[in-house]
This record gives sequence, C-alpha cells and structure tokens, in this order.
Amino acid sequence: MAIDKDSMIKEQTHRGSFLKAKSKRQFGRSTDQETNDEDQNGTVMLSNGQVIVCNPKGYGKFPTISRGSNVEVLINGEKITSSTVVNEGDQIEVQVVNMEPSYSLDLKVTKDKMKALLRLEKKPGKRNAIEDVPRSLEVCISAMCLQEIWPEVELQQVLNLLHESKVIFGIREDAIQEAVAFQGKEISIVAAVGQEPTGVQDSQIVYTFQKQVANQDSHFQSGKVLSVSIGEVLAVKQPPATGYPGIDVTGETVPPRQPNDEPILIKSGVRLINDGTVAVASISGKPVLDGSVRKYLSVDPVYVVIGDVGINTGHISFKGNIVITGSVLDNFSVDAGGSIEVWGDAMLATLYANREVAIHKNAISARIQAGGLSVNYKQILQMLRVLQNRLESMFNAARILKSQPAFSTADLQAKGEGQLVQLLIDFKYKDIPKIITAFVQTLSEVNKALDPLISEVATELKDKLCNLGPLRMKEQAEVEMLIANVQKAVETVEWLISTKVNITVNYVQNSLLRTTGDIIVTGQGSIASELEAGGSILIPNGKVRGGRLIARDKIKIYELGSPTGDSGVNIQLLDNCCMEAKFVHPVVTIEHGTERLLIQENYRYLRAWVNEEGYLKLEGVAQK
Amino acid sequence: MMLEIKSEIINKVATLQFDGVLDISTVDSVQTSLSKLIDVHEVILDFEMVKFVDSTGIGTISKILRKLASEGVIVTIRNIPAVVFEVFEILGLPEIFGEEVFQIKKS
Repeated sequence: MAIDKDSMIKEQTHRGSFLKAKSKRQFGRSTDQETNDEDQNGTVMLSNGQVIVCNPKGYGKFPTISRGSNVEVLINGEKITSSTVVNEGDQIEVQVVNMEPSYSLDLKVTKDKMKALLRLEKKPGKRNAIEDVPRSLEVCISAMCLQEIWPEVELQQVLNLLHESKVIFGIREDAIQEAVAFQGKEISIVAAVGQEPTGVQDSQIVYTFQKQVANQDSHFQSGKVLSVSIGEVLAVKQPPATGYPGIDVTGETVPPRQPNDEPILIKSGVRLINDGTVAVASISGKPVLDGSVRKYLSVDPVYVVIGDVGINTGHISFKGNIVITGSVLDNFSVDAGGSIEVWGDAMLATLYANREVAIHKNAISARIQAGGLSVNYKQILQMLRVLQNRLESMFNAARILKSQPAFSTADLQAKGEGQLVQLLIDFKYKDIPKIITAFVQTLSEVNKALDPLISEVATELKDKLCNLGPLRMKEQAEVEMLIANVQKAVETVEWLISTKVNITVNYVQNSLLRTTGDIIVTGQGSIASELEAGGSILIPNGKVRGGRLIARDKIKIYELGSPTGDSGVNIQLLDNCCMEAKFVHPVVTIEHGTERLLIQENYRYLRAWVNEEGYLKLEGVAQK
Repeated sequence: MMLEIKSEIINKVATLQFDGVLDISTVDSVQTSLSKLIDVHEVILDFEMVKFVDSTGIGTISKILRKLASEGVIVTIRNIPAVVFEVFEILGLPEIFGEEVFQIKKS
C-alpha cells in the first residue's frame, strides 16, 4: 500500500473534526443538511476527465468518491474498491478501462462429411471516456462507451481452420466472406458442401391398366364393364439406375446408395414376362391392385350377365366378379367369389359376395351380404397355416435327410423325389394328408364361391400329397412350388379377412344388408330394413324409417324416424360407434351394450356416442 | 455295392447280420432272406456292418417291421451305426415302431 505518512495524518485530522462535528450534531442538529451558513460540505466534480475536490467549510462533510463501471480509481496511488473520502490534497487518478474486441471460430463437420458448419462469435471492443459529474458531496466515477469496435476476422484465418480440419472440397468462400464481414455477435454458415451422389433411381412400376380404368369410368353409365383382356399389359417396371458417386468436404468419394429394386408382385390371373419387367393378364377379367404395404396385381375373372338374372339365366354362381347389366329378379340368387355389381334392382333376391356389392338402383325385399365369408376364411386360414408349417417342416426334414452321409439318394434320381416325400409322409408327416383332406372338406362345406386361388391350392395339395400322389412327383422343386402356393393362399386369405368391403345401394326397402365394411345408401334412404355394418352406415341424404341399424364405426343419417311417430327405428352402436342425424323423430331407441335410450321428442342435430367411461351419451337440439 | 446277409436261428430266434448297403439294389435279397424265416418268435437284424441306406431300403425295412409285428414276432434292429440311426430318427421310425426296436451301436 502506498500511502504517504503526511496525508495519513491529515486524513486523521479531518476524521477527528468530522467525528467532533458529528457529536455536536447529536445535540444541536437533526439532519445532515447544512443549517448553518458557516458549515459547508465538501464537493467533488468531474469535468473533462479532471477530478476537482473542494474541502468542506466549518463542520461540513468531506466528499466521497466511489468507482463505477469501466474505470479504476487510484487515490494517492491506491486503488479504491468502495466509497472513499477525499480532500483537496489527495492525488486522484482515474484510469479508463477499455475492452478489446475478440472472436471465436468453431468448425464442425457433419457425420456424413457432406457439410462443414462454421460458427463465428464476435465480441465487440469498447473505447470508453470518463463521464462528467456535476459538483456533489458523493460522486461515482464511471466511463461510458464512446465507440464499439468489431473484431476483424480474415478470410484466410477461416480457410486455415478449414484446412486444419481437412476440409478441402466445396468451400463456399462467398459465404465465409459474408460471415467475416458480419457485424453482429454470432453467425453460423455452411462453410463447405460436399457433392451428393447423383443419378440413383429406384425401380418404378407403372400400372398401365389404371389409366384404362380411369378412362372406363366415363363409360360407367353406358354399362361397360371394367376389364382387361388376356395378354393385355397391366404393369411395366422401369429398372433401377445405379447413379454416379459424389464427393464429401474432405475430398473423399461418396459411393451412390444401392437403388431399391422392387419386383412386380402378382397373384392369380397375371403373368410376368421380359425378366419380370412386364406384367400381362393371363386371363380376361377385372384387374385388381391390392395390399396395404406390398401391392399385388391380379386379374379376377368377370362374368357379365347382359340383362336380368331371372328365368332365362337361373341362379348365378361364379368364382370371380359378376356384373349384371339388368336386375336380379324375384327369388333368384347371385353368389360371387369376388364382387357383384347390379345396374338395375335387386327384387326379392339374394346376393352373396366375398367382396363389394353395388346396386345402382333399389334393393326391395332383398338379402345382401358382402365380405360374408370372413368367418369361413378364418377357419381356412388356420388350416392353411398348419399346412404351411407342416410342409415347411417336411421340406426341411428332406433337406437334412439328403445331407446325411449314411443316406443314399441314388434311388431318388431313378424314381423321383416323390419317393422321399412319400417316405416322410408315411412316417413322420402322417398328419399332412389328413389335414389336406379336412381342408378340402371344409372348402366343400362352405358351399360358397371362394377365392379361386384357395380351391386351386386345395386341389393341388390333394393331388400331390394324398394317397400315392407323392410318388408322382419327380422334382424337389414341386414341393417347393407347393409350399410357395400355400404361402400365396395364406396371404390371399389374410387379405380377404382383413379387407372391409362395402355395400352401395340407392334405396333399401324391407331388406337385410350385412357387410364387413360400410353400407352406403346414396338415394332416398332405408325403409323397414335391417342394415348391419362392420364399418359405418352412411345415409347422408336419405331417411330411415323403421328397421334396425347396427354399426361398429359410425352411423350418419339425414332423417331418422317418421314425423307421425309410427316408424320406430332401433339403432345399435357397437364398440365406440357414434351416430349423427340431422333430424330425429320419435320413436327411436339407441342401444349400446346393455344401455338403452329412448327418444320420444323431435330433435335436430342429434349425436349419440360412447364416452371414455363407456356410457352412452346424447346431445342435440330438442324441438317442440 | 452289395449286401451280404448271414442268417442264424437258435431257439426260434433268428439273427440276420447285414453287411453292405441297404438300398434299391439290395432290398430284394433282404426280402428273400426274411421270407425264408419260418416258425420264429424273434428276429434280430444286426446292422453293425450297414454302410448306408436309401429311401427304398427304409421303405422295405418298415414293411418288414410291420409284417413281423402283425405276426406277433418280436423284432429288434441292433448295433445300428450312429449315422444310420440318425437317418431313422429324422424319419421318425423309433416313434412309430417303438424306441426299443432300434438299438444304436455302442462305440
């Protein structure tokens, strides 16, 4: 500490006076303010960087100095840290503290080395000047910023940093130049960009028949059937392209990704040619592209009835799709393995389809079922899966057997591979023929038009694996083919079970409609009919008078019940089904499980739903 | 390859020693040898020297086992080399005819 002795004595003297004055004030003065003209406090002022001190007079106070921002204050050579008393004899030095500009550079290369990211942080420097302070007893000395100085970053510095990080390719000098010239606290830029591999192209499948289907839609009203003829091209595959390599920011070559090469997946009625790049119809019929993730292309046979189904045609049963350009007349039935489309009415008729049913006019006293084989298909699927499992196991056993050193295959070459299959069926896989027999029996009991593929597989299994069938097999590939066909059948049945199919009809009266999907009534509505949908019942513009509606997803109706109250309707909501109706007349009952609500007033915008607790709720506008 | 069959009957117990291969070329001799067995209560087929089998050979053995069992004759196949037994096991023969019928050769 560098305080000279004289000044210390002087200061002590002042303090002595101050204390003395203070003790006086205890009796004679109530405040620090001067009340006597002879007593005057000392002052300090700052002007143009100069500190001017005036000592007090009489019993006045000595002035104080404290250090504010951006300065160091030295009194008699000693830095002060708190408010300090000063007098005229003190050497007071004020040092301005300036701040130098600074910056930091941060470079990151992305994991794939395709980008180098630069982050530049700048901290400006400050040139400060002492602030003037008017004369006062207590003064805080500070310096204020006169000028902000941004740090200067050279392009070369950034380039050096990139070089140190081995970034040599795709350097964006323009962007870096902008960043270094930027006057702000922080800027992030992409300093270098690699070149992505180019020209990689996945295989693409163009389903050409879809165009034809779109065009045929315009002919819908004229009664033309959506179909393709044998040999017609259904899909074309554009092969994948491998592409060209790219280069990353470190200058290394980036190989192009392997292009996806998806095959055209087909089911029955389609054949692949030109190394699998073109799919053509192997039968005439209706092209179908289905599957949620993997799209399978097939052609379902179409049976077209020109005119009515009646005395001239008899009952119609067909494994594929059926199109009837007329009506289905009284007491006749139509049974389809695929879909049914009727351009006229269904009058006192029975329609049964595995897939969708569309009736362009009215269903009067009709029984219509779509997707109705799902229960049967579940049973079929179970059997097919067991069969698939057993066949695969047998195939593996044959493979293992043939690899045994003590097993000779010489006789198989002479007699055919079927000899081994027969042996396996005779011993370890005795159950296979029994399962096949049961499977065939189940199919015959269904007594409905099943998907043709299922029947084909059943026949093939029976021919090849029952009785002496195995002995007729020459190649092991025949067993493999059999397993592949069973697999196809499993996939088809799985799809048939999971697919919800719809019934679309213009008007329904005194009929029974049942489907796994939606029932859509496009016209005037449903009178005294029972509609049961695994999905929704949608009658957006029609009336429902009498009968019963059962649905699992949603029921949407324009008008429910009749104004006279004599056409009560029963609504059954399954699971979390909700119902919406624009106009509701009594009497309507809405049921969910064991709950039952009776509507005996007129309502508008009635909504019924099942809340989270599982209770049936109603809201709507009651009408007087 | 050939199959040599040595036959011996002691106290109505016939022992047939097989030496060679049991395949399409030798199954006839197996059937001939067995058809000669008359008035026996037990038949022992010794497979110690059987090198390998094929599907025809296995088919023949299974027919013989079935026929003799239906006649009330006790049949045992003994000293079956491990590699041959492996084949029988893959086909599930011990499960069908009884595990006691098939006796693996002790090494």
